[in-house]
Amino acid sequence: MKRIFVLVLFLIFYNHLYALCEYAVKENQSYFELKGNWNFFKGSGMIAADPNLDISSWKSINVPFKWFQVKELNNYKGEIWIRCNIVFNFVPEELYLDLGFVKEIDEVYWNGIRVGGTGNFENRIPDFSERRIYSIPPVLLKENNVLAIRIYGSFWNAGISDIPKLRFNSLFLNEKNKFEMLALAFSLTYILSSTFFIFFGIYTQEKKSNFYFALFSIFLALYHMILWGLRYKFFNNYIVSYIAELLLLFPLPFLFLSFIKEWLKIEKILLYDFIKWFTIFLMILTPIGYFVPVVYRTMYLHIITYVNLINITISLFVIIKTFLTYRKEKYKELKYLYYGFLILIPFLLNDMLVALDIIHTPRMFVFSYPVFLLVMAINLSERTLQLKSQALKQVEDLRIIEKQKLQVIYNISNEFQSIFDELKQNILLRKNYHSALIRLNYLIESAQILNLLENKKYFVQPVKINITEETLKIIDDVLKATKQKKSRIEINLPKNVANVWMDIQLYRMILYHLLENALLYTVDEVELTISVEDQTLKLRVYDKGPGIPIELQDKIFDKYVRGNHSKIPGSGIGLTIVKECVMLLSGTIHFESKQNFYTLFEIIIRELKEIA
Amino acid sequence: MKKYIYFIMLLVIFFNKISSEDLKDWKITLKDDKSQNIKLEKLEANWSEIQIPVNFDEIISTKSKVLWLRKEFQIDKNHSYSLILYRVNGQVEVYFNEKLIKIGPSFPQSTVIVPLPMNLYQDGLNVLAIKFYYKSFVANGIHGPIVLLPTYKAIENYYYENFKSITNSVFFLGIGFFLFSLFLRFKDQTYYFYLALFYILLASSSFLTINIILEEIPLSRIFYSLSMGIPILLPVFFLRFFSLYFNRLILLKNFDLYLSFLLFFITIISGFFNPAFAQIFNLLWILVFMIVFVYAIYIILLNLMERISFRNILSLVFLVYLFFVSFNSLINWNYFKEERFLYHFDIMIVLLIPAFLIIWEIIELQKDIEKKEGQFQSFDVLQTKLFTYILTALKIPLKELIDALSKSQPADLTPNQTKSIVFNIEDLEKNLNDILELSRLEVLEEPESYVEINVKDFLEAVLSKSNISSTIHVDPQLMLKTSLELVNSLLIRLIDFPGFGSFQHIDLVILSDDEDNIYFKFFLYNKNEKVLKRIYNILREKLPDQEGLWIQWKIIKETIRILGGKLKLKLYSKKYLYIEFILKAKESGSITKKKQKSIPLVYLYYLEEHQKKEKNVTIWQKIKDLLQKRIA
Repeated sequence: MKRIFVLVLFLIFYNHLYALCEYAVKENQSYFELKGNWNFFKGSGMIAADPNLDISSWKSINVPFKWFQVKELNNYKGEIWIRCNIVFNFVPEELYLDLGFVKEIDEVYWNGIRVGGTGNFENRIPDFSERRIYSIPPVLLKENNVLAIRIYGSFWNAGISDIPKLRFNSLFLNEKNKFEMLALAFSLTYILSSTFFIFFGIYTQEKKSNFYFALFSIFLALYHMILWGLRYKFFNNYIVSYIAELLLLFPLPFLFLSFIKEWLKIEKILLYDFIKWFTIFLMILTPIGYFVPVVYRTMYLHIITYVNLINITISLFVIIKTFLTYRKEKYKELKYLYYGFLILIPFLLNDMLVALDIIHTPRMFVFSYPVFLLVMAINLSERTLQLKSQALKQVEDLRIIEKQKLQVIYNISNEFQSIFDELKQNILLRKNYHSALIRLNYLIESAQILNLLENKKYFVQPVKINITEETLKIIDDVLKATKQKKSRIEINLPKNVANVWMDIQLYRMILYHLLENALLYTVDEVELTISVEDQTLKLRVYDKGPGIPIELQDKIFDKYVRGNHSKIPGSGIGLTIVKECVMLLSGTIHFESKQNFYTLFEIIIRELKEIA
Repeated sequence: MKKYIYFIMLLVIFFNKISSEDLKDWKITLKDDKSQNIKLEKLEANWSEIQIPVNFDEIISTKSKVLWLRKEFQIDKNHSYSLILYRVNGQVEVYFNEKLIKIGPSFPQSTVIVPLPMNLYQDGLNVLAIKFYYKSFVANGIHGPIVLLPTYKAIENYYYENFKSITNSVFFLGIGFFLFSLFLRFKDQTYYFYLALFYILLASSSFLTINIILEEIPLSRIFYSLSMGIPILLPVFFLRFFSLYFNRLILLKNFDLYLSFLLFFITIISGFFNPAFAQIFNLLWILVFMIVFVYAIYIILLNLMERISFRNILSLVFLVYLFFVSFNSLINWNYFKEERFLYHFDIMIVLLIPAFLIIWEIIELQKDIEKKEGQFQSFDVLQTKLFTYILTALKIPLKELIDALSKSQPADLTPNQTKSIVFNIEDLEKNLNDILELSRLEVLEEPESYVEINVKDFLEAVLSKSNISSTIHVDPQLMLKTSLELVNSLLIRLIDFPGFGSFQHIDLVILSDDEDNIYFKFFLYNKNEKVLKRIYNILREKLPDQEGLWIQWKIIKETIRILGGKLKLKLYSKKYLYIEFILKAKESGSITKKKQKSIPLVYLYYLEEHQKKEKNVTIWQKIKDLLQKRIA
């Protein structure tokens, strides 16, 4: 039993017990993986690089490793050494140590001689973006070699991410450089293509969508330029460069979302404000990282990077949700954009997983974005097509508008002129001119009320009126104005109801214009029925005239629309005023007409007492 | 914007920068003695000295086909080094410490990277010897520097050398794709198609100059020949685009097409056998390009004579710049010596101008639509303005009239009363007409029609029948493209302005300046300071008046606005009112002083007379006529 227990314990702690790490490297291979158990020492001291040092007290560590995977390194903020013996049975012409990505600072010693390092141990300035590739000078090569690596970490994610490799020629650098150069060339292309959107933004009214997209492209390009090789050409200090990188990265989801919002012309997007403030919050937190104490700095910057991944995820869902919500309503705008965005998603997820250190593939988003730009190009050509047809339609519409404008001037001019002519003629001939005076009076009043109604400056003034008396007065005015006989109107007025709360001016306008139209445009009898029931005024004007042509029926309440009655003077605002007045009184208007049979207007208005 | 462009320029310049660790000074010999030339010992022989980059054409005699370069130096044995030979035209063999380490390149104008094997590194003296074969008829040499760098850095530089070509090809391909996509939607506008081909060819040509791609693919020589041949086709598509875009017939018919395709195939075939032939045919390409340039410039000049527009000016800049660059390239043979000029950054920017013209066209279209969107509101604006003016100007007098007439019966009116009322109504009619005219003008963005007139003739015709004293000092050749109706109405309204009726004297001076501005200067004299001040305040809209002068004045102001003029008002010595308005003769750059056909004076008189007659016609009659015409 004891033996089994010891065996179990041995198996559990096997990894941490001393065993000399040694790799025997043979000829005829392009690289050799230094994977497995290395010797490991927790603490600092340059003596650890000495090839002759007795390391029997050192423990074992499985490479690659992360701080959190090693019990001794949990919550550890400091240096460690790992080393290994490498035995060659040949003399390599060239030798490179490809350590991959190391967090946070490292230094490599070959047979006790420093061959390279990334980051600064003295000031604890890390670098967790650069791939570690160190050239080993052939003069240092022996048959038995000691490779010692000093690593500093202050966060659970510190350590070596990839399997270290010995490479025997420089060909592998080609792949690395190819990727970097392509990414940089693509990034510059994004900046160049953004000029188009900037121009569009400057010179047209669609400023926001264009500027958001241009900014997105520029930020994305600059971010990738830092990421893919220009970091130390733009900056001297890694921390500053990393903060700049984050400041370029963090607004991207918000810029893209804003572009979608403006592009689709959507008033509100789910969680838009939340993402906006979240982004602002992250962007305020980022520069603070520079002032955070050195031991916590990496942790701080990593945490905000991970928090940003939440922001990206939320934005991603919001964008997909927006696309799904508006896929039918905004089909034209979304037609290509939707597929372009779908193509981006796997690449985006890849980059997110790389950022989380879950996978170690190259970042790919930078290479997928051109597809989206091509989609934008198709979209833009589609938009140009729409613009051209819109421009053609506009010319036609403007011609109609110009015609309508002339019609307005003509109608008003015609109406006034006919009244002035009648007045002058009747005065000179000493004939009755009161008909013209009434028409003039109503015309001025109508113009005034329509102006007030349309500018929302008319305030309802309820007064108690005797509905029968007022109606008869208005009928009298209409008959005089239209020079018609009283017999043409069959009047049905309420018998018992005397007083009703109403806006007298609006009531006059409604009744006058309805009756004037009925009398002027028909030759038959006009039926007027007014009733008051349950504090509701019902007004019904019915004539057995020629009716209104079907094509005009949808437009009869539009301004300046007149039937084929050019011989009869009129401003064309009568029914518009009727509708506006009824609306203001919160009433309803019902109209029906059958050509060559009849026309009926039914208006229902609640008595104003209650409203008042 | 400028900063942004500078930033891009800086980036590209940055990537173009080659490390300063150049090996500039080399020793050179024409003696083809390999064993002696590669020897790892201090050179005793008296070799000449030379600085790289260099064109060997001037050094190599026609008899000799080989030269040797040699460099003695010390090396740090702790680092691996590589040698980069930029843009080699010819064949090289590189020897390092007596060992042959590289033969290349496989295609012309190629950059060669040569890693120096570390096991050959010597303490003290190390020797690099390069044998150069004479391969082409022209431009033999190493046209870039020779650089020794740590290997990882050298590889980085070697790759970055291709950065510009990749950016160019990706960017041009993107533009080509966009234009092609436009063509698919506007199949009748074939200039999109030709321009798309222009950019796609440019992108492919740029793509085929990418060293790292040519190095890795088989038959790189053929692809290289293609990269030399493709630019020959560029002028064809460029010219076709230009002719269609500016709607000019191709005078050269299919000359460009024929010659360019011929050159293209000759270049490809000859390039495959010997790049030197390709280079000679590329010279012809520049000649073709020159012909195309001259023709394209001719097209633009024709266009500019008709209209000075942004797109014409930009196109001219584009052509003139390319012309000078290619001409310079032709006379200096730079096309083969250095990088091909087509892929220079400044040329790349200039090559974007045709695409920019198309994009500008789209922007203009969008702007035009946005501008017209505003005009859709003009209908409601017109009605609001109309009613507001009617109510402001006519409501009170109309109500007074209604009140007065309502109290009396027709038979009660005395003849005097009748006369006065009729006069009153006519006055109201006149005011109504003015209001209608004002409302119409206020929603007018620009004149409805333009006519070109000779300013002097026109002014003399209009002013000859007025009672004011006038002096005209304008360039007799000056033409004005404007609305005759509006200018005429403006002058007549100003001369006949009722507010000036009481003024003792009115002088009008009309001048023009070098910039073709026409100044109309009215000097109005009134010894009554109060009257003068009152009129001045009405004109400045600071004093309401009952006579309706404000309507008249607003019409004048609106007319000046529509004509694109400026108005100034001033009081001098409490006796003079000075009114000045300026009209620009050069309307939209479409007017030239000379060679313009002016309207015959007879017609002008006719127009003037016609308008005088029209003064008695009411506005609604005019509109009725107009409506009837439109409906007809």
